[in-house]
Amino acid sequence: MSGVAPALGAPPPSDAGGAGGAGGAGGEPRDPAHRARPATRLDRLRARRGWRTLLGSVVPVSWAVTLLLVPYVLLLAQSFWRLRDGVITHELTTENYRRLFGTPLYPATILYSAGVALRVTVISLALSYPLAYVLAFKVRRHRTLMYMAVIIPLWVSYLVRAYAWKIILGQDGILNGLLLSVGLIRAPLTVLLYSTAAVVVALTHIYTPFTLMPIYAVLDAIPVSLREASQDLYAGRWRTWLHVTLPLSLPGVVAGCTFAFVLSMGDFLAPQLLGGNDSALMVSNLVWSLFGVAFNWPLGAAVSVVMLALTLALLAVAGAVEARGRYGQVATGAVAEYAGPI
Amino acid sequence: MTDDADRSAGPLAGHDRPIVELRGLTKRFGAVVALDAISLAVRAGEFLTLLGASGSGKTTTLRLIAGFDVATAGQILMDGVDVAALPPFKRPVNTVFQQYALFPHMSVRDNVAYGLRMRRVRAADVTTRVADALDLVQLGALGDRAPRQLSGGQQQRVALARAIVNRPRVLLLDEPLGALDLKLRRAMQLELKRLQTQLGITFIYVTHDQEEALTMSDRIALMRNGRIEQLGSPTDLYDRPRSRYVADFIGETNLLRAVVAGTGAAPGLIRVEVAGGATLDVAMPHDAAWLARAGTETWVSIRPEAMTVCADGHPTGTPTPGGARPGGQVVLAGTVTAAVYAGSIVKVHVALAGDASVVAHHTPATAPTPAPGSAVRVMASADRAMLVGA
Amino acid sequence: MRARFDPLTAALWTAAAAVFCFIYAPLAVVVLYSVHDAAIIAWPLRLGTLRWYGVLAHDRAMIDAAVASLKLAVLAVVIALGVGVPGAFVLDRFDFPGKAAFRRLVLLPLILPGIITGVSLLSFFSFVGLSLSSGFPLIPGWPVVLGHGAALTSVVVTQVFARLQRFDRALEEASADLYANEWRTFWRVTLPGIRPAVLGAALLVFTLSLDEIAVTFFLIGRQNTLPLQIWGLLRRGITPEVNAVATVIFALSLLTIVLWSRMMRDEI
Repeated sequence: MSGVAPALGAPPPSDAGGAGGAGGAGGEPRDPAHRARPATRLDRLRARRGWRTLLGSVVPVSWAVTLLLVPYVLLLAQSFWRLRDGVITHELTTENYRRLFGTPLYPATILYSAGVALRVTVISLALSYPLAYVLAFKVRRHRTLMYMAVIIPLWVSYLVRAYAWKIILGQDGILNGLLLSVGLIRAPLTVLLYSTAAVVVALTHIYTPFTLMPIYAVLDAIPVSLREASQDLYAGRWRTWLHVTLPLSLPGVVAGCTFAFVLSMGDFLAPQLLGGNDSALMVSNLVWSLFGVAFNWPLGAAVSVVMLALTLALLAVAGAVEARGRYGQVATGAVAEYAGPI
Repeated sequence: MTDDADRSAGPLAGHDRPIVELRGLTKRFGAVVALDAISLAVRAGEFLTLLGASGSGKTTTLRLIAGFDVATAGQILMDGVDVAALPPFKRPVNTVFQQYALFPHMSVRDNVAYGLRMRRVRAADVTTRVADALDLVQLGALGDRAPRQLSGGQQQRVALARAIVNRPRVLLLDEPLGALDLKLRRAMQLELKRLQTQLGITFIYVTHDQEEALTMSDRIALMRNGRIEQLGSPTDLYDRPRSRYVADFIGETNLLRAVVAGTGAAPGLIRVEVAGGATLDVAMPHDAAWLARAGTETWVSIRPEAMTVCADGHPTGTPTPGGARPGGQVVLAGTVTAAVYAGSIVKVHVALAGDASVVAHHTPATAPTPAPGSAVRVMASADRAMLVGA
Repeated sequence: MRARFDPLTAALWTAAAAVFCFIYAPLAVVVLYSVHDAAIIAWPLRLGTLRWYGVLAHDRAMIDAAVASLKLAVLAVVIALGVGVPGAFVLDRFDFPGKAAFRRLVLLPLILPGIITGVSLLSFFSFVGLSLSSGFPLIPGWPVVLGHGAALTSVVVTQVFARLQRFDRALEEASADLYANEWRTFWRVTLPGIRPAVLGAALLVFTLSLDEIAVTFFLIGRQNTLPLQIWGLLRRGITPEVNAVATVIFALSLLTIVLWSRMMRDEI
């Protein structure tokens, strides 16, 4: 679950209120003027002392090239390699992609995964927006504490969160037990666990805090005077939300939804644990089985590359949408942190 | 058109009834009393300033009138109707916010049109009224800009246009010029005053800047610790401060600790003994008879510009207009400690007997500036030396 | 006045409370079932035994896995800080061709599904011929250590970079003005300024490494990490022991976040 980190760093809001608690990705308040801060004269002076620059950048840059760039490029290269009798040869071929798009199963898998991810995204948004709204605007005391309470689950083991649903939804699980004891059903429901719905519920549970954090960050950064100005200009609470709060919170919504979508689409453990036969239909599970079971790495690489391309395309779109929706004084979401200009 | 009629009728119709009246208005935040049972009647069409240091309760008062906060106790009457239960969007007031609070995701034009659209004014009327409002603040050409593309002064005008386009009976302004630089602020002060007179809207204006308050206001309510310390015209507050705090807050002044000794040589004057032993006849504010009891410890306030410095041994010095008045003069002896050049005047610091000191504004053109160390007499017309409460 | 019942606000609070329950109820279930007195996880709950903690304490494989996870996490922190802190400085202060590309590259593992990073690194290590078990038993294996380092460096970079952007450079200039050379300025002014971010990032990397599965899954050699060990148990079916270990992990997570928030509070 290495996709989790950016939002985790978001700082708790200050109880004192005010505009101080703006959190972008990486979690720090971010002054747009600062984003592209050019190197100062002192920097250039230093940079001229070449060895220092070299020493400073050689380790991180070569590290990133060796352990990130090369592996990702290798994955791309591998997707064009041929598997012959279970052995990878370095002959170039488009066979993997032809097979990927030629077999109905694979595009169907991608669509199914996107469908699951979309449902998770929509539900996460529906759950987290009201909570973020209450946290940002309604909670007066112990705001830090309550915000912490929302993000604590992010620090709790992923497996624990996924597995809890097995206890709840299982045939002998709590939900069945409760339903039986109140007499709503006569025999335990077996459809609860090992279904797409179970996967969607668990993934929603796991990723809702990710959706919540950027939304909270933008809501918290909206100056209270803007909402007051709207009320002063004859808009009631509903219209104030519609015309002022909602448009200004869109960057956070975009960032939160992107998180939920990308992370749940890339998840392969919860589907395997809770999804039963459907689980094989998630694209990440496909990658997993092509690499771990079928040992068809080139085809697995091709599926990964498609996934990678879809993810990057989504991020680019989200980043652009988010950048358009930013108005200086409102904090940036995490997507812009990645997709925005340096 | 109805709105126009309404507006022009406003100041006349509400001539004797206050347009906004606060009765025993109190606001507590937890244990902190931000506003302590203040009462205030705002006259229709006037420019009323709530002046005070931060934490004095001026912004709280404004927010209660606007409806952003709910009062702990007391009433807010608008045209005689209690509006305490009304949310902001149902009150006939509009606000110009401190940091302007322009909607960043809307153009200047949409910002100004916001209130009209929320009241479902016909689209054609919205267009003309917005254009008129923008013209009024001289921003007619910038309607399509985003707020962030404007300078601070321009943003300030948009905020103003956004409020007055709704033709409110009362406009609330919360330190609207606070973010501007000094020169622009001075220009905008005159501009605001002009608009207020032209439109006939009642202004309730919050500021911590006493100079701003003096320049623009018909009346000033000087606030302190959640109460109104003194309410009156700028001249009232400047020339007849009720308390030491008022005298000190408005303009520069010299405060001398004094004890009431008895009645003075002329009616309206009172005799006090200041620190160091000198006995002076000073003016008594008409509504402060309670100060007149002998033995009361109090303060004398003399503005620096009311004082004249004369070198010792030149008893005539420069004749002051006050010298001819029946009230006579206040005369204090001391030693010059510093003479600080300040352009048109020189600020002469004079140490008096008994650790007291005063600053007098000396005009170098009329007489040579006394040198530090020289013995001088500081004189002021008695009616400009005010007895003030502690 | 306005303190009267307000349906809109009430509805909002209700929704917020419901979401809170949705987030916490499953965690509570796990904790409760860790003291469930039966071998089968079923309803109704029978509270009041610590025996599953006893079973856990004697589970050799689980303990080995926990030790391996801790080693891995410590190494991940060392690597991530060693690369990430200079990386953040490079991004903040140096201009060089390809800087934007470098930044995006470093942040990529944050944004990509872990499985993609996992299979890329698997392909890489297999390509260069580094055995997944190399380094074992001293460490869980070089590939997994490097893999965690690669994936989690980005956490350090974002945290420290964000802090550096807020850092007031005038402080460094003041230090230089007061006769400190660059080295002493760094130690006495810059480093103390970014220390909370560095510590916070270290804690974050530690926690994330302990919980990492997607990358670990593909790079692990002979020795399972704790999450993989639990995963193995789960694949075989639910045993109450899992609830016990999950509760222990939950408790430790809470402890970490308390530590973290303390650190962040001292920051300002």
